[in-house]
Amino acid sequence: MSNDHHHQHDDVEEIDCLEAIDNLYAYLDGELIDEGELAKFRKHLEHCNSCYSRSELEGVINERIKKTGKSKTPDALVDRITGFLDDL
Amino acid sequence: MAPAETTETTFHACSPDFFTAAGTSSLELGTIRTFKLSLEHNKTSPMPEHSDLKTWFATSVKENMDSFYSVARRLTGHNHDAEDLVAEAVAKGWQAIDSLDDHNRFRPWMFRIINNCYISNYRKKSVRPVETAYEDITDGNSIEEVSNILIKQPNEFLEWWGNPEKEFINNLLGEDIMNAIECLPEVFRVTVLLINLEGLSYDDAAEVLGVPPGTIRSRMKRGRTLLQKQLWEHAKDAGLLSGNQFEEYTT
Repeated sequence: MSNDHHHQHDDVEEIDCLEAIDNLYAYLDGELIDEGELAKFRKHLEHCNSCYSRSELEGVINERIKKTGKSKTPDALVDRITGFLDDL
Repeated sequence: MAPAETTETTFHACSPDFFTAAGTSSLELGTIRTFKLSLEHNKTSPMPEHSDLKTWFATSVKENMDSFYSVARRLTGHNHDAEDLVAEAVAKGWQAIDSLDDHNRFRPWMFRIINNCYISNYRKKSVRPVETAYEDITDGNSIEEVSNILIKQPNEFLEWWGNPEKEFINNLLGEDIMNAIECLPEVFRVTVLLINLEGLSYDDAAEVLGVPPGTIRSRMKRGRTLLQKQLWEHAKDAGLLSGNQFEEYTT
């Protein structure tokens, strides 16, 4: 086996880029909760520059969506909804 | 309107009226019922007593108004439509308050109403893409699905994606990302908004959209890949890519 030397250091299974991309968004969204899957994904990122870069870029996009995507409710709508709620 | 007291402990995603209004099929209803069972292990938090219900509803709406408006604005692509949509959804939410049994589920429950109101009354007016030649894959081979997604992308993009310029990342504007999200087909747009903008879990987003959680996972992969490609195309058209990253692959 060509990857036997990796197993001498730890017993986390190697995964390829396809499997890493399959788990990429779940990982960034905090949805990759299976410890085995998580360890395999992290190990792949340590060894694969492309997946590491992809993950970094997607993480930055997540941050910027959260930072800039929120809109403040216009005053007119606040008044309209407050009026509705007051009349309940 | 006086909401009836409820005895069930599980969460109703919405009243039957809303399923009908959204054109939700009986198949999807079955999915939701099945899914409801999977939530039963979660501790539920009972609704306030009737006398406090109005106050609780009003407070909850006010606390979440920016969230509702933000999603509505990106869904409709119009500020005024977004205002009407949120106002309508709040009114419908109060009408259907009986269908909410657990006050901790308020946010996903309201997002579901917003999405259903959008589909019923605002989607036709929207200039944003609705149709997409996409079928949800829930039980298929996940790796194979990724392979199918990637195989459709240009090589130039895939190579770039694994090695994007630092400069591109630094200069990528939040507003450009949001515009690209607005241009996604609806099925991906709403999923990305609920998860990446509002921070819903995949389970909660599944409940909002009436699909199994696996479908959300699949939509995220497709939606975000598409988003990334749009950002790349935008940057390429605007001459923002240096092209330096390709040297590694050609030398």
